[in-house]
Amino acid sequence: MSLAASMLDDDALRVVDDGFELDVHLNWYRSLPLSSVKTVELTVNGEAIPRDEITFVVNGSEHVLDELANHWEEMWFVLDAATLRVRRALVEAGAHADVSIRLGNRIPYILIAPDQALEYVTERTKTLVAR
Amino acid sequence: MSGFRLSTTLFALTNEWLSRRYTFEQLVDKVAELGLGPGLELIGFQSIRGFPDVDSQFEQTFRRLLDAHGFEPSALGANIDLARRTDRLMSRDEVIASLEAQVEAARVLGFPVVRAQKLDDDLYEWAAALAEKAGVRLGIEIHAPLFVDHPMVLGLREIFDRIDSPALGFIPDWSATMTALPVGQLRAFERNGLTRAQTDFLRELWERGGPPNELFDEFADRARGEGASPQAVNQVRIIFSMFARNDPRQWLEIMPRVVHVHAKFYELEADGTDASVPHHELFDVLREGNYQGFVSSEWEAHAWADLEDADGFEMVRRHQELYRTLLAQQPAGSTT
Repeated sequence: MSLAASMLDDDALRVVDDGFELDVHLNWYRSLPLSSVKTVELTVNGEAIPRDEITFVVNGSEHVLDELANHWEEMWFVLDAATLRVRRALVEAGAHADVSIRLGNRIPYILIAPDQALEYVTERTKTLVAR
Repeated sequence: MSGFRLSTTLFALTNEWLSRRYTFEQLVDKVAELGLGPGLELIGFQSIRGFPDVDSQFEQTFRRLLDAHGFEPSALGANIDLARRTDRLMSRDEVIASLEAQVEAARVLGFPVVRAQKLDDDLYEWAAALAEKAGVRLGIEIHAPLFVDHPMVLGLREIFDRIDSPALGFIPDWSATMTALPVGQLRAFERNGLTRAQTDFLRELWERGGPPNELFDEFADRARGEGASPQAVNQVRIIFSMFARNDPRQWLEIMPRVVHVHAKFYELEADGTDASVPHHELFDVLREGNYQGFVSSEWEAHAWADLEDADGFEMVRRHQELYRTLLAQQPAGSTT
């Protein structure tokens, strides 16, 4: 699907002091409240990163994933990358890394049951060179 | 001259926008370069950072672009994010506050119409007063699987007749009156795990019609039996609700209350032919219904086509060229 095409840029992966960061773009056509972000599954070189090891940086603030639900008044603007931060040295600067991201957002204005929003899930896999 | 006018919705340029190859100004500049418009529609939560707040910088940029290119704002797409919280839906007061903020954004930017989704029945009198005061009209979108004779829409027609405010109306979306499923959508399903025989069956089911859930279940039973993965099967669920094949002439029933039109299309060829949307019949319906507002060219195949495979600007250009050709001809029914 085309909304997957813009999720990962070629320079999305960065090595930082205590681990790595991955810039991820939204897989929907409009901005969404942070509380929409439901599924974030990240695999690097075949290793699945546990959910509680990933933090989510957007609008200059860092959040643990389970805490995003509380931020229903804050928007993830459709053109902005969110940065997934993992404090584990899994990638090397200059080396290739196979990255797979599965992102699922609750679409807050599309209800598929009286009190249930549609979850739109996209998976994107790409070989990136870490900066 | 009376009649309707053409509009470009920036939603048709979703792939171009998400590619981040264009700033907002560059996107609108290119719409102007191609001679599209004169109406300009956008979705607030897509195009405006901070929406529903509109800062003075965006307002100035927008007004400068309108002036520079002779564009007119046609419609602002609003959304009520009912399920923004995970623990409960928006309260009535929160819905009111959300719509108020988006109507205010439309007023500030000069949009004459706000595209809205269905509200609770007892909110329309309040909504009419809100819109009248702001000088805008609210249009409830009729998109597949809804249509003019759907019970929900019949209910709205009664409410709108009773309130009888010029500020309340409908926005037909041509997704409800298609002639075929877009082939590109079927090919995309095949890339994601279905066989050609399975998408042929899908097309047969869609053409046969019926309750979306029953059609989906019939498809799912067969595809699963043939070994299709759950993901491959589930991806098709949307087609029974995103695309429908009703009679375009039935739009005439609501035409006096139409405030804006979403001329949805997917696969218009360069020669003006289109297997999935009956443009000529829909055009005749607008003429016959004496429609006077904007018609936005809403190409939506970006939902499955990548930027490299399809150019949103070119699709909108084709659509407007076709409509301009039709507008230049004699009205339907007259002799040449």
